[in-house]
Amino acid sequence: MNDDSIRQHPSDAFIEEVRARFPTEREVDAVLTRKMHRRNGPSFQAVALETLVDGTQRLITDQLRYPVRIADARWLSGGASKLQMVFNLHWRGTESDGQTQVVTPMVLRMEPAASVTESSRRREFEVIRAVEGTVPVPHAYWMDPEAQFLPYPAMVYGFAAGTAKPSHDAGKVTGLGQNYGPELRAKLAPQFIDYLARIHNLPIGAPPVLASFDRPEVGSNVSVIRQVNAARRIWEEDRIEEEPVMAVVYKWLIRNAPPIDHVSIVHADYRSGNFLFDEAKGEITAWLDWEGAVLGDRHQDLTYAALPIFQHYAEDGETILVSGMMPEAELYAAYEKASGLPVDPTRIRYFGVFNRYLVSVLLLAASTRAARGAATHQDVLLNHVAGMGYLALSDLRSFFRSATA
Amino acid sequence: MNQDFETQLQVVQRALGEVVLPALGNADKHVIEQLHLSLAAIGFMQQRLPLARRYYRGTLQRYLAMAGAVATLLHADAKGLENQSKQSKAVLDDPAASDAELRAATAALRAQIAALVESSRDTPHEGALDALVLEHSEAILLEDRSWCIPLGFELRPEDLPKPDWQP
Repeated sequence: MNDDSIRQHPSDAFIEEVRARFPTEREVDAVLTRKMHRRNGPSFQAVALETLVDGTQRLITDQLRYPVRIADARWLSGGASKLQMVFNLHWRGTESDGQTQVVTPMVLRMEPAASVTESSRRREFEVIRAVEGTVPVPHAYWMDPEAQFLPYPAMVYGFAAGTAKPSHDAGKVTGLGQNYGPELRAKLAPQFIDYLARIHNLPIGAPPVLASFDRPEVGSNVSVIRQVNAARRIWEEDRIEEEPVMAVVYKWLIRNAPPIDHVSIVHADYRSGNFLFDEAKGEITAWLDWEGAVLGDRHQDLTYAALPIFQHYAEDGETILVSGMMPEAELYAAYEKASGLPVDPTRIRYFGVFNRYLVSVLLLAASTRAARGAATHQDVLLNHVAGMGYLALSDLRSFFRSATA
Repeated sequence: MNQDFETQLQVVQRALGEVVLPALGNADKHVIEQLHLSLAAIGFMQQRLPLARRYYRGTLQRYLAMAGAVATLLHADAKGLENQSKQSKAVLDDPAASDAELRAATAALRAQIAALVESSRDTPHEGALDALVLEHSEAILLEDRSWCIPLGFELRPEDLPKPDWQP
């Protein structure tokens, strides 16, 4: 068996060895282990809309204890990882007298057999519930975390109005390098900062709030190391071939993991393309894609938003705008002002390396593996974004060199 | 028949782009997107297929150079890598070697070097080895990025150096 086959058809021994080598959070461990076992199961089959309607109807009926009706179901495009269906739910609503029928537009979000980001629907559900009221998010209604009703784990949330791409630049895949244009940018950028500050300042409640998240301890770097190990584990499980640069960087990330100075909810995919907005008003209407959220260090979100793959040049052809918003230094200064939390250059450097490492893992390993294994409903999209892998790795190498010089 | 693969790809590209795509006017967005991405993948192959062998050979040559530098640094600790280098060099020198064999020879070198990086933790030569890997990787990754230019992710592709495999 060659290096690739070992990963495409993993033995129990291989799975357990990797788990032991790279310990991470409980729920993350469960999700990644399930992914590896699934790889030996039946290959991903295209799911019919009718199957999703049936499963969703059974899920909701089970939760509400009365029959509901799903109408107008259709596929919802957008994103590179999950399979989504939008539909109208005919039900009694949350505040009705039990007799009145209401119609609520909702979205079913289900994972395929493999994904660019293997994640937990349970965690996604919990974190959306935790931030609701602090930032605009669609309400999380129900979940099927063990795929009891649907072919794969799934959740149902409210339909959020808005667009992810401005009409003048709608061709970007998953919002990479999204250019909002000067007028829209001026309206969106302050909200982009403000919502990030709000998320990071939100107090973390005690379980059962965010029950699937391991709690980091202030003053300890254990939770950071767990995150590095999660990325390293995905690299070990999914990669097509080794990259010596990745081995160099991993050692440094473990050795230099900074202690947490303030525990925040970290969105972990906070960037252009991951929010909806009202184009006419220039207002952000919903933050999406919470699936990778962790409890951790705010610098992770800050440096992620500033990654080169989400940048583009401003109209002057010189200024680089991070996440299509503003120059990197301005982002950090505005965030400090909005949040009251300090931006530490050492941690910015560390998480700048970490995020580049993570993105390289997701592109060169997870995306590539999922497309190669014919494991998703959009292999062609994952295969396409995997083509960014060398750009990400090249950026990791350069940034790492300058950060450690 | 048309023996060149570029023509085979060209006819598919034209059929999908000029006949199928316009007929999908009211299709779901994700259907249109997948067709666009399929066209992009075909376009990538069309541009890169004629250059693939030169690219694979160039990459292998660069990893052989990296492996040579690592072996010089580590001496006796790099016997496995030296053996792999000999095997990979034989593949490079074999005119009958397939593209898959060239890529496998490169992958084997990468795996050996990465394993040495990992096992060098806390050894006296760790710093020098890591620096060497980073230094040699620069040109390799620039070439890899050039290879992916047709996918459209580079902000300024014209800033990349001309790769060795480009005629």
